[in-house]
Amino acid sequence: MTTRWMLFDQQRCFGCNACVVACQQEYGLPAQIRFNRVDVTVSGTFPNTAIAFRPLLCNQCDNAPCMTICPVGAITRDATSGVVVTDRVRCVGCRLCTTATGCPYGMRAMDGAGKVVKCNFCLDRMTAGETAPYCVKTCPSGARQMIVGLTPPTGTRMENRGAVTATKVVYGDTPNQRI
Amino acid sequence: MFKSFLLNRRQFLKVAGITTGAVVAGSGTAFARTLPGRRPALARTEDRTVLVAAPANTIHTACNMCSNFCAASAIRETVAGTTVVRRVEGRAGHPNTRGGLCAKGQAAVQLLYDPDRLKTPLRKRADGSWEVRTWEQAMNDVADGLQAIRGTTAPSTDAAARRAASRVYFLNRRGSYGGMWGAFRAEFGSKNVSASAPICDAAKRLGTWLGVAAARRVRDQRATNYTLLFGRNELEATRYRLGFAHELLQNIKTGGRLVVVDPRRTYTASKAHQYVPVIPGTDLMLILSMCRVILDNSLTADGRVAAVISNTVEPTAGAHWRSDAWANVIRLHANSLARLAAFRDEVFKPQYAPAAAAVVCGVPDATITRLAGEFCGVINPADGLTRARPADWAAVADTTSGIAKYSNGTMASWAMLCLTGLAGGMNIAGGYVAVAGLPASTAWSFSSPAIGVQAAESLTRAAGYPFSGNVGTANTEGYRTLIPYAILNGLPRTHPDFRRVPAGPLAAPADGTGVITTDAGGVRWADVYGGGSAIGGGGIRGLFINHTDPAVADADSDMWVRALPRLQFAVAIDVYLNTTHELFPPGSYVLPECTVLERTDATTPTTVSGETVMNLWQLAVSPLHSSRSGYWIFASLGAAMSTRYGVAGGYFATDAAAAAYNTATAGSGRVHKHLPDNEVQFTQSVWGNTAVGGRVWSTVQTNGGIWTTGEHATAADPEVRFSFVSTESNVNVVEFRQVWENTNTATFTTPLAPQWRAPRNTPTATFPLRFMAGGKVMWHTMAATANLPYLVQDFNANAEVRNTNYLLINPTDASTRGIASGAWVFVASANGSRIRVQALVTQRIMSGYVSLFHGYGEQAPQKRTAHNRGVNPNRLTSSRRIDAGTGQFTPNEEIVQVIRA
Ligand code: SF4
Ligand code: SF4
Ligand code: SF4
Ligand code: SF4
Repeated sequence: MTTRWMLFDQQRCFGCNACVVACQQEYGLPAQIRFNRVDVTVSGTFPNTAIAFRPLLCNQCDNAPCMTICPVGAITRDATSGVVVTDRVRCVGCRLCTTATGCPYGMRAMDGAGKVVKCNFCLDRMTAGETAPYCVKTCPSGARQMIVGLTPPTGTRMENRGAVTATKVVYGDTPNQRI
Repeated sequence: MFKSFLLNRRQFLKVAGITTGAVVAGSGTAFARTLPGRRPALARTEDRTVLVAAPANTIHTACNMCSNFCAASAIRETVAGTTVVRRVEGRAGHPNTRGGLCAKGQAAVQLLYDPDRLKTPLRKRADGSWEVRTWEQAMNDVADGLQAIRGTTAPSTDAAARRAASRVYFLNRRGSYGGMWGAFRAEFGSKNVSASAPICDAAKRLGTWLGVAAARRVRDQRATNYTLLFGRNELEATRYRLGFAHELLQNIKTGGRLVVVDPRRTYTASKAHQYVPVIPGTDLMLILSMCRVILDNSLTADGRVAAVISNTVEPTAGAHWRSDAWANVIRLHANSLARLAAFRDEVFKPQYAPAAAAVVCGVPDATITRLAGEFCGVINPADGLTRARPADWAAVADTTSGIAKYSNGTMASWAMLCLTGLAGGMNIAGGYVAVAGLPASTAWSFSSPAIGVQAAESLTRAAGYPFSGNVGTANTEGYRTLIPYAILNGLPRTHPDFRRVPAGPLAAPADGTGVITTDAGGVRWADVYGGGSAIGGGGIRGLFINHTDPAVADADSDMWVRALPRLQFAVAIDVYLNTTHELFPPGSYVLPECTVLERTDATTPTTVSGETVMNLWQLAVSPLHSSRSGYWIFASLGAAMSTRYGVAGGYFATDAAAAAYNTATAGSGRVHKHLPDNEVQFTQSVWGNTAVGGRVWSTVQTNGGIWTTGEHATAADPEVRFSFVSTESNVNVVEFRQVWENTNTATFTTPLAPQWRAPRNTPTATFPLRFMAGGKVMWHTMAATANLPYLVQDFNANAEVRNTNYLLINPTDASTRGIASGAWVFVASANGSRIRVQALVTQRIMSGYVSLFHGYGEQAPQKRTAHNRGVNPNRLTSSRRIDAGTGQFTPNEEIVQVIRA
C-alpha cells in the first residue's frame, strides 16, 4: 500500500536548515511552526566532540497514535500513498493529537485557525505536477530523497524510536546524487 | 479528501490584502493570527510598469542573499489580480549549486515582503526622525549634499578638486554594482573607496596571488583523495560556491579523506576523518613544518623536487614536468633552481623542525610528520603504514578567511598553496585548477579605467597602508576601518573624540606608537594627504554607502558610533534603515533599493566559482513601494549630478548617454551599456553561455576538470602557474615585499619565500582569551538577513547559532570563571569596550578561545525583528589589528577577558 517514503542520508546532512525554511516558505508558516526539523546532537569532549544531524518530520507511522487518539476521526491514511492526512473540516481543534501521546515526535501543530497541521509529504503539491517536496528540492547536499512507488527497506536500516516504529522515514547511507 | 493547504494560504493572502493584522475566522485564514504584517504588500505608491508579462509562473534568476549568487527560479502566482512570488527554488543540475538553495536563499521571499523594508527615500530631520521625500527631491538633495563637500565643478583630473572630492568615502558591500559604483565615484572624483575585501579576505587573495599569480583559484573537489581544510568551515559558511558542500560530502562518501585544522570543532570538522585543533594564528607554522617534512624525506613522487633543491638536477627553463606522477605541478621558470632553493633554505631553518614547530602550533610533532606523509599519499591514513604514492593522487589544502584573519594571514595563505604544490595538487583533476572568467569585452562592464590610478592616492595610501589594487572586488580597495579615524580627525585637536589616523605598516613611526607623528601636535589626515590648511582640517566629511552597515559590521563599532554623527552629509542605498543610518547627521538620506527579485540587471559574473557561470538577476515582480533598482538609482543620481553640476554621470540613463560615454572613453577596452531595469525576462538563466565566452559544464568535465580561461591562463598555456618564491611584478606583490621588508627586517631574507611570523597579538594576563568575532552559519549571515524571522528562528537547542548569538566558551574556561551555560557574562577587550552576552558552554571550542557570531546587535528600531537581538561582537574588535601584507582587518587576533555578569 505504501508508495511514498523519504530517504535520509545522515552522512550528507550538515544541519543547514534549508529544508526547514523551504517548507515554511511554501506553506506560509510562521517561524515557530516547523513541519520539518533538524535535530543536532553534541557529545564527547573536545577535541573528540561528535556532532550529528538528524532530519525529523512526520513519519507517516504505520500504527499512527495520532489517528487512534483523534475523537472525530479526522486523521486517516491516504490509501494510495500511505501518507497520514488530516481533514481540516472535520478537525475540531481539540489538540489531543498534538500531545505527547497523540504524537510522540511532536510533529503536529495548531495553525492560526485552530486546525491541526503537519507534514503530508507535500501530497497535494505532488499531484499538482511537482516532482519532489520543497525540502527535498532545496537540500544543498542531496541528503533527502522522496521515493515513490518502491517498497521501503526493512530490517536494520529501519529506525526504531520509542514505542512506534517509523516505517516511512528511513535513515540510510545510500548515495542520493542530484547530478 | 485532502484539504489543500495551498488553497488555504492563497485565500489567506487574498483576505490579508484587505484585512490588516486581523484575525479572520474560518478555515481560510490559517495563520492570520501569527503573521501580522507578514504579508505581501501589494500596493505601490509610484506608477511603474512591468514591461514584460511573462506567461509562465517561473522566472529564472539568481540569488543575492550572499555573494555566491546561486542560480534560482522565482515561482510566482497571482493573488487578487497581482503577481506575487510564492517561493524560490534552486536550478537542478546547476554547476555552482548542484541544484540546491540554502535557507537564506529560501528566505528571499520573506525579504521581498518584509513590512520593515525601506519604502521611500527618507531624509533625516534635526530631531533624528525621518521625513518621506520623493525621488526627485532626493536626487537633487543628494547631489547638493555631495557637491557641498566637493565644493567645485572642476574636472576630476584637477588635483585640488580630487582632494576635495575624496572627502566623500565610497563604501560598498562585496562589490554590489561594483562597476556603476566605481564609475560614479571616479566621475565624482573621490579616491576613497572600499568594498568588503579589507574586512574579509584580502590577505587570502594576496596570498593566492603570490602563489599562482592570480587573486583566485579554486579546488576541484570531485576527484580529490585528501582534503586538508585550514580554518575553512565549508559546511557552516559555504563561501564562493554552494556546490562545495554537496561536492565535499559526496567526496567523503566516495572515499575521499577530509582533515580539518581549526580551533573550533565546527560542523565541517564533525564530518572530517580527522580533526586537528591548532593554536589560533599558528597554522602558518604547521604548514611550513609539513613542507619541511616533505622536502626532508623526499615525499614528493619521485624525489625530483628534492633533486632540484640539492642542485643535482638542472631543470630546463620554462619546461613542464608532465611525465612525473605529480605532473603539471610546477611551471619551472628560468630561475626556478634558485627559487626552490630559497624555499628550501627557509623551511630548513631549525624553527620548522616538527619538534620545534609543535611547541608553537600545539600540534604534536608525530602528527605533523604523519599529516605530511598522508598528504603526499605515502602514508596510508587507515593503518599509518607507509606505501607507494597511489596513481593519480590528488591532495589539496584550502582555507576561506579563517587563517587569513591573523596578522600573518597573507603568509599563511601563500604557504598553504606551496604545501599543495609540493604534494602535487596544482593543475590536476582533484587539485587546484584555474579559475574561469568572462572576457574583458563583456558587455556588462561599467568599470571606469581610471579608477585604479585615482584610488592609488587614497586615504589608505596616505596613511601608509598597502593598497589592495588587485585583490579587491570590482573596485580597487582602501582600508575601510580607517574611516572613523578620518572622520574624527576633523574635530578640534582638543576634543576628547579627536583621533589621528594611525599609520600603516608602510610607515616607520618615529615614536613607536604606530601613529604618524611628523609634527608635534599630531598630523591630521588632511595634512598627511597633502591638502594641508588649504582644504581645512579633517579627513572624511561625507559617506556614500551601498548596502553595508559598518556600525555593526566593522571593527571598533563604538568609534563608528562617535564618528558617524560628525559627518557633514551621508547617503546610503539599502533595503532597510539600519544602525549606521540612524547615526547619520541631519539632512542625510537613505534611498530604498528593491530586492533582487524586483529587478533585472547585469549581474556580477561568478568568476570566483571556478566555472564560467553567469547568472542574470531577473525581475520577478515589479519593485514594491517606491523602491528602485540600484541601477536606476545610480543612473538617476548621475543624471542629477550631471544636470546640476556638470559632472559626467548621466551616462547610464539612456542609450544615447551610454553611447556618448563609450565614445569619450574609447580605447578603454570596456563597453558601457544602458540596461533598463525592467528589461526582458529571459526564459532561462545564462550559464556557460558560449556567446559571452563561457563554457558549459559538460565541456569542463570532458576536459578533465581543468577550467582555463581568465586572467592568467590561455588556451595555448593552460597550466596553473605556481611558484614557491614570488617574482611577480604585480603591484600588490611588490608592495607586499616592501611591507615585509619594512616590518620584518630582522628575519627578512631575499628572495622572498613564505616564512613564519608569530601573530602580533597574543593573550595577556589582562586579556587571557583569544576571541573570534564573526563566523557565519548557513542560515544567517550578518546584517542583511537579521530581520527575517525564518533566519533567526531557534532551529535547535544545539544549533551553532540560535535566535540570538551566544559566547561560545569551553567548559574549562567557563568553570574557572564560575560560568554556566545560559549565564550572562561580560566580555571586555583591549579597545576599551565591554559587552554583556549569554554564554554557551560547549565542547565545540578549544580552551583559551571564545567566539561570538556576528550579524546581531542591530540598533535601528525600524528593523523590528533584528532590533536589539543579540550583541554586536565588533564592539570588541580593534581596527588596529591588521595583516601585515594587505592591511586587512584581522578580527581573529582579538583578545578578551570574560567574567560572570
Ligand atoms: S509522526 Fe506523529 S503526526 Fe506523524 S503519523 Fe506519527 S503520530 Fe501521527
Ligand atoms: S515533505 Fe513537504 S510538507 Fe513535509 S517537510 Fe518536506 S516540504 Fe514540508
Ligand atoms: S537541507 Fe538537507 S543538508 Fe540541510 S538540514 Fe535539511 S536535510 Fe540536512
Ligand atoms: S548560498 Fe544561499 S544565500 Fe548564497 S546565493 Fe546561494 S542560496 Fe543564496
